[in-house]
Amino acid sequence: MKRILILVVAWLALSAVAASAQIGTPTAQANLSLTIPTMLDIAASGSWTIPTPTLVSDLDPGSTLTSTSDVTITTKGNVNYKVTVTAPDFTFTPAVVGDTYTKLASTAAVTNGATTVVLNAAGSIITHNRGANSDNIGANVAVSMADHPGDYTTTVTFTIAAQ
Amino acid sequence: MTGSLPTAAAPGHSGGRTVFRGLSAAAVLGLPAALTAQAPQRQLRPEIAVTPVIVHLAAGAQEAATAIVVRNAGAGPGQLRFYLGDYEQDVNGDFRFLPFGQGAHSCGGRLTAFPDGAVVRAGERQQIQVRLAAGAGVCWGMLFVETAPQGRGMLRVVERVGVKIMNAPPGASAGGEVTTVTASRARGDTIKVRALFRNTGEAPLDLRGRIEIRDYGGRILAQSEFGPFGSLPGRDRVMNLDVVARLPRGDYVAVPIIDFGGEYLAGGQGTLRVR
Repeated sequence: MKRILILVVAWLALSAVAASAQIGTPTAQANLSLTIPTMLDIAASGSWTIPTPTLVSDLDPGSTLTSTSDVTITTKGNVNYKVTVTAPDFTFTPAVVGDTYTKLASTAAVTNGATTVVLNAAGSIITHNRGANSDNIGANVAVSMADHPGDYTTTVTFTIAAQ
Repeated sequence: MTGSLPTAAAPGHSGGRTVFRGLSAAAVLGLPAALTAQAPQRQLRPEIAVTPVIVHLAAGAQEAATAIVVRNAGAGPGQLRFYLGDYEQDVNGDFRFLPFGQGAHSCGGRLTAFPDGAVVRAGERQQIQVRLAAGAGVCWGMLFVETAPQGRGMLRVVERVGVKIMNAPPGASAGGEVTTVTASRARGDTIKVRALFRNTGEAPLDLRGRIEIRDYGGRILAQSEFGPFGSLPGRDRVMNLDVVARLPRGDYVAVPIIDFGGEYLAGGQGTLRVR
């Protein structure tokens, strides 16, 4: 009787081992999904320093005031992109009360050395493929005796957008 | 910081007398005073990071909505303005920006964005809700995320990110073809390929694909992926693509294969002779 009991226990143990081998190690599966959205990033540093004309001859025909410092435009993107530069006409604060004058944005231009964009209409100053880039942008303003005495300001907008 | 020259002849009133403050030497000389000088200044500036920057909506009988996330990745706070505009892209992909509602395919009257601005400190995020009301027709526009003007002086700087928002209602057709391919060898091993794609469908498209350089036996010797490039309905779009391939003398073909999201791929080929 005792021998039969041992055989039954042994048979059950072997059956359990065999069943376990057939089932194998329990596993689970999960899907891994990832979405990377389109991204663009822009920052400007520095400022333009436009020298003040000090001599009447500084206003001779064809005179241009060139910035002595650059603005650096730092851009990043995981898509190809362009940076477009635009500006409205100058805002004029007259030196003589009541004076009015319009200095066109087209008298100013910005340049990265290779490309120059006149500021009267949108123009692409920077074109890059995806990645990180830094571009130094200079500026110049054409002046003449026709420009009335006073302060001139305009705002240059750098717009980054996917190509 | 060196400020601009004193504002010339800024009139003020003192004790009933009109006085002129800070009349500059340049103004006295009759020169344009303060065409202005300003020394570079160091200040903490914002850096705008926006995602996503290409949005396709499918508003038709139903409205559509999405969210744009703006993050200030810079060191300084940013006073940001959010507003909508219209745009066109020419054959080279250069932009022309228009006031909202003035584009021929403007979403004006249907597209809204909220809020219209926020102060976003360094490291912070701001979400913009964009909603396009139900309506018929394809339209597109741009959401602008813009910093306040930086600096003082004659030329101030604004940074702006433009988010393309394009709507094609369900059923709008997507179609196109490659009409011209030219290829030439530039300096070194770079092959310059110029492919012209014509959008013949109704929907704005994003063009993605690859350019292959093959020999006359059809064997692919080099390839490069490209895109996305925006393509508006009824317009041509040039893609200037570079492929690096060290090719011996001989004749080859450049083959752009473009996935524009339609039911087929657009392709073309241009010959390339290496001497």
